[in-house]
Amino acid sequence: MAKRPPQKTALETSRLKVAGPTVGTLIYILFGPIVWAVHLTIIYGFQSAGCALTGYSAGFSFYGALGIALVTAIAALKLLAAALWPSLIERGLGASTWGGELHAGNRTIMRWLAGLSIFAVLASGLAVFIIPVCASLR
Amino acid sequence: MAEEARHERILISPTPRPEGEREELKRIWATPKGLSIVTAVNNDVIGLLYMGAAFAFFCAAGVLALLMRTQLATSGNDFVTQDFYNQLFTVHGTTMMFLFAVPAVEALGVILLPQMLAARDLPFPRLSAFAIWAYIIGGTVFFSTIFYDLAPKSGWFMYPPLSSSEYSPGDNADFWLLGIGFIEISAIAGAIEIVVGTLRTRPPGMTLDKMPIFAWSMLVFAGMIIFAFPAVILATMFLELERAFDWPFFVADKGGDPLLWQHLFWFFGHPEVYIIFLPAAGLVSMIVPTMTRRPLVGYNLIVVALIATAFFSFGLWVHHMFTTGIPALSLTFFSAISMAVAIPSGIQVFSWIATIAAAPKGIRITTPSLFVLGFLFIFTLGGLTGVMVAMVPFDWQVHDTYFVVAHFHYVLVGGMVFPLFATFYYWTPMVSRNMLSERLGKWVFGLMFIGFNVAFLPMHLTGLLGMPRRVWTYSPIMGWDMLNLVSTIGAFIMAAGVALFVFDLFLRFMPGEGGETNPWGAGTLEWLPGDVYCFRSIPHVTSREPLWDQPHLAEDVEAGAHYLPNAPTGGRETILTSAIDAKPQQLIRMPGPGWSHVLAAAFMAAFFLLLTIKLVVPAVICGVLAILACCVWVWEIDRDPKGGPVDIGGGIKLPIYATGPDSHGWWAMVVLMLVGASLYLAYVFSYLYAWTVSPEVWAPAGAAGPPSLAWPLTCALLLVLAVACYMQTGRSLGEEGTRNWWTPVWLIGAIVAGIGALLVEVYGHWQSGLRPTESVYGAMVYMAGFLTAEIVAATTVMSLYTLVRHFAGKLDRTRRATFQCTTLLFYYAAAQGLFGLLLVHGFPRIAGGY
Repeated sequence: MAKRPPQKTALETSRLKVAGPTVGTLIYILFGPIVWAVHLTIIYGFQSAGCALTGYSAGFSFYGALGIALVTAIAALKLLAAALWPSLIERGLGASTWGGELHAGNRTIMRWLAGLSIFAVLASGLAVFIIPVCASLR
Repeated sequence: MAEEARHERILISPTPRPEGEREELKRIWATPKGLSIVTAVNNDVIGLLYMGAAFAFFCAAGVLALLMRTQLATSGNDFVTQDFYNQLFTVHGTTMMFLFAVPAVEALGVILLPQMLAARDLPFPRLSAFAIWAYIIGGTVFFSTIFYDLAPKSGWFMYPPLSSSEYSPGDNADFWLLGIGFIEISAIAGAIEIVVGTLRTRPPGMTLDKMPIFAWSMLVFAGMIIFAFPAVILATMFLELERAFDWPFFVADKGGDPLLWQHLFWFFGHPEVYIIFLPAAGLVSMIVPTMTRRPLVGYNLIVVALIATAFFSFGLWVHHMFTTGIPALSLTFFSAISMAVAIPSGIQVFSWIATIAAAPKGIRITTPSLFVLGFLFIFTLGGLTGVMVAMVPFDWQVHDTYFVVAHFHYVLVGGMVFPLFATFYYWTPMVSRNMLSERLGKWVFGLMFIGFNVAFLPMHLTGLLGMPRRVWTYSPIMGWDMLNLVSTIGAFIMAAGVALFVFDLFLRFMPGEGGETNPWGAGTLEWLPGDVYCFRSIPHVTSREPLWDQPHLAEDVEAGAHYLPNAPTGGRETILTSAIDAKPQQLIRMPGPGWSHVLAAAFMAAFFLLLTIKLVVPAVICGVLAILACCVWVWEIDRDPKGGPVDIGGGIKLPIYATGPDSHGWWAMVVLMLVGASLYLAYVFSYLYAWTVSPEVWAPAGAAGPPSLAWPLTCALLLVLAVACYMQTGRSLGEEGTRNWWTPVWLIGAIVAGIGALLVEVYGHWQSGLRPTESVYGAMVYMAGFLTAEIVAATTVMSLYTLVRHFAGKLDRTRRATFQCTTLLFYYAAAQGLFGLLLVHGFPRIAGGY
């Protein structure tokens, strides 16, 4: 028996504003990698500039290491929170416009990406505990 | 129960359809005949042209590889001269990366995406055609330089100072810089098309979570192009300005740093590897389910892997620079990510293996599946050596040796060429009346697989024995003869495989409709019966494999029982849907064949190439003609809004005109602005990087300026004034069919204020005594003006075009789609200009305590 989809009135669909939910959805899905990218930018920029401008001095090492460790901890906690309690970041990102199946799919993808990003953030950031901040080791 | 109901037969439009509907569709979408075929914009025609050109470049670059392997077959060989050898490896690498790999992937996007998404065509058919012609003309001229000793010689990554005018005099390097810059523009045009196409032209019902994996991979691919390519475009601008006008971005004596090039180049160059690989992985994710007759295991995880790989690939670039003396902690950041990126790649590999393992009847051994299995083997090996070179101490040992050559060929040939050949065999029935020979195909695979491994496996050893890459010849006492000879034999075996494929292609490939429909029994939409108009009607999709889950779909679509079985506006059109949940929103009217985009591509190519050989006046003339051709091209796109809404079936009536976020042009402009923002961010990085390297040449201590605050404040005021004028222009637009004479006044005011702001900014620095040639600081300061000048020039041309439309009565409060796009770019230009003022005038004051 053939079925027809629910009827839509003419311009009801066309008036949907697409930009808001789209950007929100993309930010939601990409939350993990975005935090990772910000984290890498901060720690690499901070360390490179700090070392270059202080003449690769040992004096920068302590504050440099502290800063990198702090930023890493904040990023990792943010990602962990997003992975464990996704509803925290769903508000305001258009989650209410997704259907049930789409919502579940988006949530799965976001969680996995956040998980991978936690690994990447920690793998990069924790090196500060074993490698001197400015030494070239060559 | 709900699952079963979801796959019930769905009929949207009443059948049988009126007579003549199909013929009308055929007439509207007909391909031009004879010489006019160059004006064609249908995705199947230009897509095949695109792929044909990319494959021709692949073969040509392959021949260069054979020449190199012949030269290296024995020690002390003089088959080619050293100088020519340098040209060979530079053109080989450049052609494979820029003229084959990226264009081939974009070509696949153009051919496959409309079919997979059941759109009649991609949303900007002329933009695709423009990108293709630009690429073909620019690529052909670039490649031909090898025939008259004008080819670049500094390797495909063109490191300065080797590529600077001091060490690479003549025009050779300029051909690389301008030629490649031009081809990058083509790639970005293609990326814009793909982003808007995948997000906005999916069939109703195809929500993001039902999108074919290849479409996901193309979306990710296009996103990566948007953020990666601007970095290398900026780098090529820097180097060309240094070579042509002595702006010392990379000259250490003047505070510049050759490593800046490496940062910018590899910020593009490493993602480039994944730009090539991810779509190929997407293709594999389409072929594997068909050959195993079951859905892909871990669809969501594959999406995760695509996105994660794309992001992480932007955090790897420094692993190409492990030996440059960067602090060890920086190296560990990038070493960690280089290893982390193996996880998402591994997810994909395990997903394919799991799909094969979970198939009740195993995998069908066909030519496409053989190439997929070959890909899995070769790419995995390449990935493993990738993890090896991600470890800093190991990289220090093998850097710039043949080990690295082996590694990246395993990744690139395994990760892209093998899936591409699988694609050729798999999707040929979609575009050709005949399938390619399965018997010959297995020989092709065998020759290529054996040849590749014989050629490249020994290179790991050659590298570990210390043979550097790019050497023209070597001494017999090094002990590299036998390994090199084996590699050369392997290269020729692989070439024999490619030659056999070309032979089969000539024998059997016949473009056009009428081939077997869905010979592999696939589940995705591209295998619906089609014609020049794509599909008779646009299906309502309820699952990821609609052809498997909706058994009557093919006959219903062919009978016109779904959306848009006709052409309600009498022209080329397709349905525009919302980006996330694919709800129908608009019927877009698309342009048909025309000369304007072809001429625009030709004149733009001529502009760049004439500029390369310093014929400035003819270059400028061609540039102007290219702009005029672009104006003619877009003139007919912003059509009369009257005539809607129209019925597309299922009781849905759609408008045929939209502005703002509902319109696809608005989306394209937003993507273009992202490209511009990426370029500018790369510039900001460069500025700050140069400062960390040489703070001593920065103002106020090391250079003149910055000028007094009156200059930047005046400039900022003019920019704000320009924006205000533009806002007033929008407000002054008359009602439908009327003209308000204030409109041109505000518009001209905006243009004048924009140009004035630029002049004030540049003159402010000039009068303070700063010159772009004196130090990297001067070069960076004027570069900010240069980048703003580019965008101001673009917005000025667009504003003048808007002015002409106003006088022609084609601009009013309703018909304002192109004006909105111009407005968006204008606002972006102003924002970039204001940010530039803060950086260029504020930073030296803060950092220098001025």
